[in-house]
Amino acid sequence: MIRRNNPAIDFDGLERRVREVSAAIGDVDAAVRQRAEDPLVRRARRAEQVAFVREVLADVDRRLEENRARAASRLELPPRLRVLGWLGAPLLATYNYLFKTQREIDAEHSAALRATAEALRVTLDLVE
Amino acid sequence: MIARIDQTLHTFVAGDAVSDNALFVRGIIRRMGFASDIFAHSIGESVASEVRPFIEWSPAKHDAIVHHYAIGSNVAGRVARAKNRSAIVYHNVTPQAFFRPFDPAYADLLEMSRAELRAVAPAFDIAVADSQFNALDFEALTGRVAEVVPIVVDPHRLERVPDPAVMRRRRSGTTWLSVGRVVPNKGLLRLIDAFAAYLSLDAGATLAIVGRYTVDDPYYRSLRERVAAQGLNGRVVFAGGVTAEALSAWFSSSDVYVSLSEHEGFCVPLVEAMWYDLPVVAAASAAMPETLGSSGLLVEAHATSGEIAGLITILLGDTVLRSRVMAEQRERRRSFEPAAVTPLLEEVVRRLSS
Repeated sequence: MIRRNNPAIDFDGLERRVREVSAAIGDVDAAVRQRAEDPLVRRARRAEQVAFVREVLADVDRRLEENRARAASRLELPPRLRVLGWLGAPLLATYNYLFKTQREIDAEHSAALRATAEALRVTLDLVE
Repeated sequence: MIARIDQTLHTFVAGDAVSDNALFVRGIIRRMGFASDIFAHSIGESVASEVRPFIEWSPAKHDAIVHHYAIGSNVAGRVARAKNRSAIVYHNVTPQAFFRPFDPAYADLLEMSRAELRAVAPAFDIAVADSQFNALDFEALTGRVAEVVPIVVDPHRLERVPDPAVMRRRRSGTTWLSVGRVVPNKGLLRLIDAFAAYLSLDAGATLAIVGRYTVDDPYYRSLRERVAAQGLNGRVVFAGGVTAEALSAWFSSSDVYVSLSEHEGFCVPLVEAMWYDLPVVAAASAAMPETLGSSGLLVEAHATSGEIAGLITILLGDTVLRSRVMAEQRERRRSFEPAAVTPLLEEVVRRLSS
């Protein structure tokens, strides 16, 4: 099970020793089952699930924040366009008109993300 | 008369092997007296000063181009259509089958990338691959023979002060380290299973998986589910993408480097682990046997979790075995030093500019 890539190593001997250690570990699945039933591990698993839900929630919040920033740039003139003076406002209006469908999709996306975030918070309340 | 040799690639981000390679190549091209810039379609914020947006790329008639191919995009097509003298460096495209169950859209992109490579390869004057494994893959895909120039792993680049925050969290037990993006070809489920077996012998051990992931990625979720199912909570750390200082701290504070990846075109972290004097245990798959040569320990595909755990137990406890593995690693890592690779790259640049 080990590739013989180094002439300085006795691979036959090494494989024999590996099989002995592996046999001492025994049934890996049984060991895993035993560990999984340990009350301490079960508590830790609950903490792991909570940590994972928190991680997902943080990711959803980050995306919502990004969407908020994008939406804001469509409501007011971005700093780069302010140098254009009065031309900036019609430019923004044209942009908003051209990308109206995309804005609607973004708004739906944000609403779905908000619903996800809310559901995750309820999940957290239930499991904690 | 060629005065400028630019490089193009799809993505340029910090800590990426292909991006680091492009930076090193730019240094060589400039030292040889040519003007040289890197153009990328997608650029990471922290490295924006090193690269120019691909939209600015507009080669003059006598400019030459080096294109790094790792994923399909409009970049390769545009470079191939240009009539300039050019070289393609093939860094491998992961076979789509690994991603199909988890990310069908990305699997489609990989499939298209391999098809695109077939179409664009004939347009390049010179073909280079960074391993023999990649050269054979390139030849199978395109029918062209590529010369092998390995990726440079510069030990000076690794000389960073380890992040004290990571060093502080180092635990007293043994730490297994695995570095790389959390993606389906990395064999991380097998790694977690092997680590679960190892815990039967060393209950205080930790498995650190250092590499970028996205929380909503189905593959990442399957790993978290496996960790929970195996009862490994708290013993497996997903560190995410980290700074160079944090990566240095993970390498410095670990006991063994383990990669059970199923597909690698080169695998830079294996060589980095050698420079940090970590014994390496890797799967004998794809380019990893070639990168390790006679160093490290290679486990075959049929090795069980218990056998991998047993091998690592023996490696960590047997000073004679470890010293033999380390002696070969210290020799092998020198093959990828700038001094070893620079002449090969200079030769490619000379032929490209002639």
